[in-house]
Amino acid sequence: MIHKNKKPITLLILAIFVVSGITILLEKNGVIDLFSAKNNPVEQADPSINFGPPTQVETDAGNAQKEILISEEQDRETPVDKGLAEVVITDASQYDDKIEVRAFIANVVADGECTFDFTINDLLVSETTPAYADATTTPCIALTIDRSKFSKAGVWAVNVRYSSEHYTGSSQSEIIIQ
Amino acid sequence: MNRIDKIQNLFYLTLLLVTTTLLLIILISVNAKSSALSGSEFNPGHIIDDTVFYNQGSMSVAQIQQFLNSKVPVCDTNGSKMYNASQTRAQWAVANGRPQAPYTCLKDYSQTVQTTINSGSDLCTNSIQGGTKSAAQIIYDVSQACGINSQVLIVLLQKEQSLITDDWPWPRQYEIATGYGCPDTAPCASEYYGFFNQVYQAAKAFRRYESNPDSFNYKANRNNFIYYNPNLSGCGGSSVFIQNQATANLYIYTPYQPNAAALNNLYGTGDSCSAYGNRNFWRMFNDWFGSTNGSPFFRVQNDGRVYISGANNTYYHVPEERIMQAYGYGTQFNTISIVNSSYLSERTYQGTLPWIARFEGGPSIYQFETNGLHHFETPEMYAAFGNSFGDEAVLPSYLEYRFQKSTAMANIVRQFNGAEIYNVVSGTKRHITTPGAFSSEGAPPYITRPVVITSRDYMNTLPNGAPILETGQIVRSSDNGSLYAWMGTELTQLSGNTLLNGGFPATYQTTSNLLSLLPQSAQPLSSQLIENASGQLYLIDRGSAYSLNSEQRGLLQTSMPIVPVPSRLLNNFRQPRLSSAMRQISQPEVKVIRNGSLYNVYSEQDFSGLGINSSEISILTVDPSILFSDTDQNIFAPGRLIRSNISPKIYLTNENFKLHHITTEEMLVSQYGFSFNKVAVVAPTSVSAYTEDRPLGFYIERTSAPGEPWLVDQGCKRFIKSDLFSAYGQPQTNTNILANNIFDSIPICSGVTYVFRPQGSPKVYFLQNGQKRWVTNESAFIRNGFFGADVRILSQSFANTLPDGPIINN
Repeated sequence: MIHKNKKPITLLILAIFVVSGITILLEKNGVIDLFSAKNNPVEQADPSINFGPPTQVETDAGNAQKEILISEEQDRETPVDKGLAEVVITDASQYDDKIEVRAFIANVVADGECTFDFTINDLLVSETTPAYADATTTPCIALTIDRSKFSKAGVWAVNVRYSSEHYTGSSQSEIIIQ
Repeated sequence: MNRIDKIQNLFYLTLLLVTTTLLLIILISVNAKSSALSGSEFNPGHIIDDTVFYNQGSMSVAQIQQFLNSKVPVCDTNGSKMYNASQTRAQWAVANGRPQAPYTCLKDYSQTVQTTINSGSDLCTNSIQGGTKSAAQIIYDVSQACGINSQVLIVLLQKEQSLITDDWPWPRQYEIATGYGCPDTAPCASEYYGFFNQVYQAAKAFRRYESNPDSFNYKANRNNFIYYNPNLSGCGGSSVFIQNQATANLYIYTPYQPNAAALNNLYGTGDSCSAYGNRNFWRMFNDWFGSTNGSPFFRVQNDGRVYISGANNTYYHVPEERIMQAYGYGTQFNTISIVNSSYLSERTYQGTLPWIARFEGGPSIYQFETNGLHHFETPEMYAAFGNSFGDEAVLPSYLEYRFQKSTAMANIVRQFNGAEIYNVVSGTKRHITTPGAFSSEGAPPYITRPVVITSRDYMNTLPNGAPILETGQIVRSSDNGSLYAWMGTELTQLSGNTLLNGGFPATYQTTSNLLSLLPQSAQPLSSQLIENASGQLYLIDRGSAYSLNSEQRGLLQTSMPIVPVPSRLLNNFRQPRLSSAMRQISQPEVKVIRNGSLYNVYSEQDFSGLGINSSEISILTVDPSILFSDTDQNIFAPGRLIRSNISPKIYLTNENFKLHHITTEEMLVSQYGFSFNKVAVVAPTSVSAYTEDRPLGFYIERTSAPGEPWLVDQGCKRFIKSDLFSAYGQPQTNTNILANNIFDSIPICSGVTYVFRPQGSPKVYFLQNGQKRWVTNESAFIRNGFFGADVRILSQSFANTLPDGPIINN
């Protein structure tokens, strides 16, 4: 009687199962992408677009976002000083014969008014621009005034003050007038 | 299990592990998505190109829908996935008072929207039709209406509320989908709630920023102070030069930049001072849609004209594809963004894109070529190409790194894929017409200078200047066929029919206008006689420069001027030696120079005897009689038999213009073996150059061996040894000196001796002191020591020339 060794066949079948299982696992977790994009002509039209499944980081982002939402909800329930506006000055410079100051209110989305006070010693130059609610902040409409309004050169202090129906706040910076 | 089985099992298990590992490595390496993006690549001054940001042609509705589908393969509509170890999402939501199932993923989301009329006064220029629309359709519609890349909107939805990948989104996430109206540290403004509203307001905001670049808190092309976090004083910020409007848009919308900690952990969190909005926007865009550094090329929908972004919200029209290629299209950039028409109106048109540009803030101006950017090292080089400062385009500085820099611009340029080389001077291109000109002309020579390769199209923009010719080069006017020679410093016209028809080998042809830009010689070159710097004289004729020897030069007629020319002019010609035999092309008569004079070769039969190979006769357009002093006399080959048509006398021509009268027919035929048939009858004037020398006798010697007399008798010549001179009466003093060819034509017989017998006579003679002495009997013959073998049979005529001496009879 001839003895047939069936172990190699068994191990081969086992190997196929192991590889298939790991491949399915990787595919499902988005590490590899064998099937999702193969039969769609629209997708093939633009290879720069990643039509692959989401990565773990991307999948987890939804849950993380919900935690932020819950947190913000709790923040809203926490009493805060709603009257204080955080004014951020992003630029206060002289460009040729123009003085420009740019600012926004970081924590407020509400129309209001921005007042720009320039001082040096006892000199004062004051200007006002509107501030409009925007996407996530309230920018002051940037101030651009002639250099001629400043009677002397030097380092001037600039104070930007925002005020609206419910908020007020200010911030300081310096500007070199030449 | 025996030991062999164990070994087999171990082997197969090892094989299994190795195979599995290899397969996984291959699968992962082929399919794994790249995470090569690094925080160090983030440029806070340039997060995204304008042309990418405003590209409204990036995706169709179907592509958007497909993209949304791909990011949520399975929506957890019922919240059945586990939220924690013990609760599903649905269970957890009920227990914690959170939004309950069913959940609608973005790919499945739809909303009924009102028609939005944008009549032109609004920031988005196109209207949006109302109706119940999918999220993909809303994204697309807003993208088209406002001219904002739908990919920007998609990324915005993800970075603000993770809506793209969330498989169980809450209504709140749709309510504030793009975070519009939501400050970082305060409640959101409810008037902007709603998915469509959020997407539309965000797009409109981006348009608003662009339309009013001077009004907002961040401005492109300026240094702007940007904080890292809403905790302004605690976290600080830095000054950032915002390089373009799209980047300014992002900062106005989300007014913080990522700090180092956020960038160091690009896919995670940084520290308490980190903000992630703009980092995540950049990262997500790169991951999903490729680089935010797109192509600077764009066009308006339904308009074929292509533009390129300039610095400071400017743009240029790209007039042709070749310039596009020079500016990287097809290599660095492969796309042309499609933008809203308002994109143009919000930027300043700067005219047509030139081939030269600089990057804003950079010191160098570059020539843009497909093989790289060539910078101009000096103002002089810049001016050489006809450029003035201000002519160059100014491109955004962030584009600079996209281009490959090449060598410095040089004013020796070769056309791409072409052999032509030019020297660019004063805004014109001067064609370097030959390899010789390239290697020998210029100071320093052009061949020693750097050469840059430019496109043919650019070269076509440069007007042609005077051609650069090689000294001695012959050029032809393409307008009128005139020929010119470049003498090194000036252009000399060639004139005269003989010259022009003589095959002057022009190697270059161009217009008279360009030739007129070269310094011109006052006098044309009209003589065929030219002399090089070393004094060698040449006759220019039929594409050849015949070199003249001193004898030929001495024969020249003085009326033809000799013009000095650069030696290299001769390089245009074959330079054969002018043969001593020549003829005018239209004439059969061959002239030959002999003894310092020009003679007519009487006939072709004379060629051989005169040493003329018919293939070596110089055939000229010019009449040799005009070139040289001509005797107009005939010359015959030595050895010709001639007779005047008015005289029966037959002569043998010899060299040195000598004639020998052949006095008898017997001498002509019997002694010398000549034939009557070969006697040429000529006019008396034909032999005017000849003088009659002594008649042809029995004794000859050859020109090349004087003093060696031979006896010509009965058709052959017999050598006379010097010890027989006395016996024959000193024949060496009585010879005809014949040209070698005549001499060689006479067969040789055995040399003469002391004894001979006249032909037809029984008498044997002994020669002594010029007399013949009859040896009367055999015993005397023997007694005097003669041998029978010594007896030569000579002609009776010769014998008759010898006087009889005393007989020998004992």
